[in-house]
Amino acid sequence: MNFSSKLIEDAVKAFSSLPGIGKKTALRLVLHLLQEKEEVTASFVQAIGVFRADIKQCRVCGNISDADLCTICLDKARDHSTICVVENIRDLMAIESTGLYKGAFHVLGGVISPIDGVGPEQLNIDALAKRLNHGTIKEVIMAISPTIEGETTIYYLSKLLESKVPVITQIARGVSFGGELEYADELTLARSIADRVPYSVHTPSAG
Amino acid sequence: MQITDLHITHYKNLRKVHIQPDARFNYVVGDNGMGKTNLLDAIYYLAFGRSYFTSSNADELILFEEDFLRIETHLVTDTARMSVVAKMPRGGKRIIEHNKQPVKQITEHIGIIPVVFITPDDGFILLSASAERRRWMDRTLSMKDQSYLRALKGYNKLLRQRNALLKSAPPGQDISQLLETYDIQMVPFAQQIFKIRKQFTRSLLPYVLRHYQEISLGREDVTISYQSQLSEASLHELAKANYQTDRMTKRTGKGIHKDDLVIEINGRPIKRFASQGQLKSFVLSLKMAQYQFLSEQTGKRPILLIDDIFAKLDASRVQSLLEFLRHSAFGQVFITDTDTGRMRHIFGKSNGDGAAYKMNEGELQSLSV
Ligand SMILES: [Zn+2]
Repeated sequence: MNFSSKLIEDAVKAFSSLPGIGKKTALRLVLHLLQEKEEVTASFVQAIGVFRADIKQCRVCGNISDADLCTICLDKARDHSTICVVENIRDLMAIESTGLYKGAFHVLGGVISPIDGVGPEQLNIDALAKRLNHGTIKEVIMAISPTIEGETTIYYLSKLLESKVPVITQIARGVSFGGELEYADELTLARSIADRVPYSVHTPSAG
Repeated sequence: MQITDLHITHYKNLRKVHIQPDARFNYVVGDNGMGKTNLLDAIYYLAFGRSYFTSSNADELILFEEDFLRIETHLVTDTARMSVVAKMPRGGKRIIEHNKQPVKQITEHIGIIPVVFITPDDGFILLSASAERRRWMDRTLSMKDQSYLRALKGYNKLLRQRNALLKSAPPGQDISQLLETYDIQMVPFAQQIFKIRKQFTRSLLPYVLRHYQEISLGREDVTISYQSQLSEASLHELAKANYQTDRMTKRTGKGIHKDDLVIEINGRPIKRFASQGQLKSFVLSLKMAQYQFLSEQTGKRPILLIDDIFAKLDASRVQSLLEFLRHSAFGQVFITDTDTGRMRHIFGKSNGDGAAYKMNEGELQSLSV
């Protein structure tokens, strides 16, 4: 694409660096802002700047939050004796959007994969273990995608936590559960949480 | 099972090849370096999604200055007909299609077109490090059993993670919990692979023996044995006992990735003590045994690719190979040779069954025989 303005070109470049936005869409957004009053752009830029500077990570569960604690952790109506462990915030949002899960969450920030430089220390695991130290948690639900790395993570966590919590469950592997929770439809996701099964840490017998 | 209507575009030096292969014998003659081997390798690529000859850079398979390669055929079996395509853009990913639908996992494709490739340099399977023998076993078993390939892929993925952990963990950090996690995940895969390889070695031996005796006309005593650490103990136990060594070497020392096939002639390892003749005879027997194993286990006759071995074998071995080809229940065969006269002779012996081609500078022409 050939722009008559270097300024337009830079703005298009900035927009198209975002996922899912191509050059054409970027240009449409830029031209749209150009047609609007200058204040529109100013408040747009401000919203993004403030969001990025002020957003926090919930000190308890790792969810995104405006304050030290997120709205889920602060919500008294929820059952805080059940913790659903997810890989990332997108998965948390997918489960929230089903509207059926009423417990608490814990966001790991990924799965264990030494090839990608991710060991247990890189994940939000210590905080999870600490949450279980008070003995108030009755159940931990592993809502982690059933890939090889996901299985490693579930097994590792279960070994680590089994003495601290009465029940560890794993979400049911839904019929059309194609890997990432984010992409599962709400009904499948809701069902796979409702139909969760006890996770058993088993050590193969010798011989 | 046979391939019909074979189109090859930009594979190595083959710019555009289009043939209707014969259901039985296909002879390709031509001087060295003209592209005969590349034709067979293109068929192999269609079967495995990779070249038979190890190439570090897949882009090198694409004809010089071209942007892609594409190999296409119609696969005809007794009951069905399907189109199979293997294609790859330069710098991109290889794609396999069945009836125009991309195949998601290579595990769904391997075994659709079983092939056995015989080349003059196959002796390396016997002479190289154990990795080559495992690779040969793995390719053979993958064609027979998709669950084997899936187990192997699972095992290898976990092994890579485990090795990465050993490499990256600072000394002194306790990683035994995570190591054990990997071991426990690897156990079922390792067990399955161990069982299938063991069974394979057992069923392969009688075939190899028969062919070897025929080819060598000798009474040499040949044995093939499957060597695996897993015959001593379970992977979980082996791994656990090896943690310290693993941490020191920063590699996983125990598992089915250390397996080997040990081949002995008259009680001595073939690798070190066999003559050139014994090696050639043995590796040829191994390939014939591979063919028979696959036909009997899968009920499909593999496509046999024989590259330029007539010049490299002495008369008696050529003779026994020909006998084998003539008397056994064969499917489709592709044979290359530099010598038109010899090809005519062999062709005549097969009662003129088949098609003949001449390869010249990457171009293939029909030959009337
Ligand atoms: Zn929170």
